[in-house]
Amino acid sequence: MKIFWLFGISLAIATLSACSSSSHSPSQPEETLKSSASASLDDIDNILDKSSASTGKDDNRTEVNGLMRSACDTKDGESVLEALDVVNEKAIDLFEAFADKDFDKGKALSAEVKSAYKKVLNKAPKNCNAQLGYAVASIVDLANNKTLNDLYSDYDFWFNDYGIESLEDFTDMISTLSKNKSFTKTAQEALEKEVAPTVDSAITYMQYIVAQGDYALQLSDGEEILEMDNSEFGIALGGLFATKAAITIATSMNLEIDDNGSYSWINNLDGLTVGEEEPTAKQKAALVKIVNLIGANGTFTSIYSNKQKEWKNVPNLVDSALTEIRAAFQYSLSESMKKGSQDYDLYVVGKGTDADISTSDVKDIIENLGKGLEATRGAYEVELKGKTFMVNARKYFENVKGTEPFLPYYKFDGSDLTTFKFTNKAGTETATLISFLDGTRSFPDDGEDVIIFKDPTFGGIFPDFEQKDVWELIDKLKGIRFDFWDRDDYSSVAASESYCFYRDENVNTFYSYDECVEYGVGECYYDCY
Amino acid sequence: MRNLTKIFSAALLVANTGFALNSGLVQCDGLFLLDWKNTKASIKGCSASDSLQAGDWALGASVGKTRYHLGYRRDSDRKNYSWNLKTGETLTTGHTSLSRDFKFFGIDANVSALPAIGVSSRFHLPDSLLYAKASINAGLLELSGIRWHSDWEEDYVPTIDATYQSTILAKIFSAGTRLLSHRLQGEFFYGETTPDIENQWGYAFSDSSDFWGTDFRYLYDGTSNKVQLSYAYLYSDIRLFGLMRENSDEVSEKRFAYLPLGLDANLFQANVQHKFQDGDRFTARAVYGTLEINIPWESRRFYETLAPNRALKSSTLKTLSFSVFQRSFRVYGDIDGKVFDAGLGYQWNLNVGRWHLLPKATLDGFYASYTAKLNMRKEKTGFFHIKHSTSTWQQEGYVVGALAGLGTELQSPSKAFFVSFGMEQIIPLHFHTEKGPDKGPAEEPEPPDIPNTDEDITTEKGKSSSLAEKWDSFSSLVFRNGFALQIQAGFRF
Repeated sequence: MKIFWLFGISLAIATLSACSSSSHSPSQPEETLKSSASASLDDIDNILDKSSASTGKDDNRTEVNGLMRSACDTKDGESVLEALDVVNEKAIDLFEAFADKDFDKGKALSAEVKSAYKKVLNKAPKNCNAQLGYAVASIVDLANNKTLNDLYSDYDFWFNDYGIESLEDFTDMISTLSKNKSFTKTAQEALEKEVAPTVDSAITYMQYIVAQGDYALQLSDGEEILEMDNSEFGIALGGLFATKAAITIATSMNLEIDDNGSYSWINNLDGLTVGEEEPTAKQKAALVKIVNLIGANGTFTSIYSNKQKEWKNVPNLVDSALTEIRAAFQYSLSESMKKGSQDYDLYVVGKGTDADISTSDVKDIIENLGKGLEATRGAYEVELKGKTFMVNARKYFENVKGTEPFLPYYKFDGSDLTTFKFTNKAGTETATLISFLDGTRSFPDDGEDVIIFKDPTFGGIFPDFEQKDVWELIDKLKGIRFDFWDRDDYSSVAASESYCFYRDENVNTFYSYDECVEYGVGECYYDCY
Repeated sequence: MRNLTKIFSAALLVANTGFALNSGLVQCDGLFLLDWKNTKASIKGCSASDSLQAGDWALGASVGKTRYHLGYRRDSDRKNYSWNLKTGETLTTGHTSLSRDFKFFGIDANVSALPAIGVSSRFHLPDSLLYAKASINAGLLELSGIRWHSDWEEDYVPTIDATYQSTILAKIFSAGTRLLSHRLQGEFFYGETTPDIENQWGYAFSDSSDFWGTDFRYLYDGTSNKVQLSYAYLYSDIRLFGLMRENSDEVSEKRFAYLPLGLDANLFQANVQHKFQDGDRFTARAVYGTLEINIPWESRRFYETLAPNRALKSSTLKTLSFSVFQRSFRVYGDIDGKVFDAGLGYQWNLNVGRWHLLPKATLDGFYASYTAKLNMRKEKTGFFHIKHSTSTWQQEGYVVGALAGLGTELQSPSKAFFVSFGMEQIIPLHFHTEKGPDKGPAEEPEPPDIPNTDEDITTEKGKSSSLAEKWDSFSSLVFRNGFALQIQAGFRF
């Protein structure tokens, strides 16, 4: 589970980084630093055309206009530096606009800023500030991408203006969005053609920045100074790798669920219950569609043949994400040991009250990222509610056949649900699927004896698993706790055993109903709202 | 506390031996200061005390219970800007004191359940022609049960349960002279508070402050007239702070709040009492006080007035928040206030058989005003993002009102026993607030929080409301706000 948690964090980083008195006489704050940028973005061409000699200093850092500049920025001369000051100031305005949720202003600025950084980059292609600015502005400028905006508008209409309240509404939505091309394909193409190249480009630039080792960029709001270094660049780069991994996953899978271009079959699932009554004829027909999608030779979640190489590379992307983020925190930790090196940093790592984050916190994060890396690179020991087992998540990405390798033995004629029968390895029938749907058998309690998985290791994901281990895991997962919801917000959640829990406010810990009973921690709730 | 009770019991026992001058008092007080829509402040409690003088020894002890409640609610159109701040506690109080007089010297010692301890030594010439005293007091200041709660449950920090704890050390020197019925006395005191947070975890508040002050007074204690004139001054530099303290492998403590306050207070008082031959008493008093609070500009990093990111508990989210969404606030400015109060009182001496009934009535008029100018600087940083902006909030106002008091006391024929009852009510007659032009970015609608008047009775600039127009509003305040009650029973023999 930890690898997914870390993956989620990485993705969040990517998303967020893209958006994102002795005598008590009164005194006033003084403007200590004046802005060096009095020109506008329209003057960029003129500034860049000015002939100027390079500062030619080999020192790592030189003070220019009140800010310390790295050699990577000063080597291209004063005109480039002056131009960058102008663009940087606008870039700050750009982030200010997004921080203030002024999206119109943000979008307008992002186009200007991206273009301006590009001009500087054309003149000074190895300039770190220009590369960094362009990488960041490119990501932010995705807000101006027409395809993405159209997609956002469509979903915004359906989910907010129209309001999806039923399965039929959902089917209406995907049918409408799939008039020319399936809605999944539209989204995948947008990610692949519009977002992925920008992310790839940003990764290249950010890798160059991080590879400098000690590159730092100082910005100022006219008074205070902010310095960004590998502590931030590494996290941003890690976030970009995680984003790339997420895009690869989303664009490699076949997610088509239409029936010859129609989605109306989904409506037939309405009212379906599991383990209570026999499905109606319509429901059975819909279930046949699902079985065909995810069963033997089913295409759902299989990997497109032209994407299989990228798919198998996902673990490496996750590995890169975690490695870069860990390196960023290691950089923070090393800075905390050098006096004065964090004076203008976004956050200061250190002991005591004159710091933002404790060194022990950073060490913990580094340790957890290390565990995440272990989990990414091979089999990793996991404990779930007392059961310890090995998980090799990398194996998941070696499979390109979707759900097929995870299926149990069964036989099915492909048209009539009543012909779906679970079998043993020899092909002898053990149970019918209908028997689990109509309540004759209960899932998962009655599953172990009659549902036999072809490969209980699931392609090596659980390398030590045998049949019984699979069912033990399913049993553990049955009562998994949902500790990210507050009990007060449960009104909209359907009542089921899985959702019932007890919250011990003293230690802010959540227990599932089963755990609550087992540990005797307090009043256990079975029936949720 | 148990020891204090034992000492108190011992004092009563000694008092009953009959060789001592003994006085005891049982008292209940209640002060219901504010009960407004957004602000509540009240304190009530009862105590029993006894003092005993036997020869050169004096012994005093008291026990009691006190309950206080303070609350403030901040309402905003936006849920994530609405919050409650409250604190309340029931305290068991106790105090013992011991004094010994020698020919020219005296020593005092006292212990209270705060806990606090104080010792003093006295020097005096015969008849107190000249006298001097030096004291040293140390104690623990604690305010627990402080709870801040956001209306927005999903807030990163929805609730803050905090404790304030600090130790105080004060030294007092006084000297005076008594000549016939005249007494002149001067006092100087200074001290400091020291943070006491070693065993506090979670949100811990404390302060590191120093203060000094003076008190001069003249008293005339004649046969039928008494006069008291006094002036007191207090200067203090207060540095309040809040830490997020966590104890894992190593102690992690991060400062998320810091508020330096400079405080100057002046207080002039004059009291005159005339006792008529029939025992009636006439009193007149006047009080004038000023208070100046300055919040100095503080530019140092880690000394922001509020840095919410540092208030988060240790987590990956906290760490990332500094790179993505870092906000901090610095408040600086001045709040000045002054109050003038003048009043008259009369106490009748009525004989009911051999008993004495002493009803009394007082009526004061007061005027209080304030001006406030506060600046709030908002600092925003994040990846590729640094901005600051400052908004200014100004307000001034005044209140005119009356303070009416009624009470009575019943004394036994020998005056050895008495019971008394008294109450006082603040009656606001006229409020006026005037808000200055706010300066600063329009996207900063949240002014700093300072004591404010009830919205219902706030008047616009240039308008003044008559008593009749506002009486309905005012009447709702009576008995709910500014009401004090005192009941006493005592003995002396």
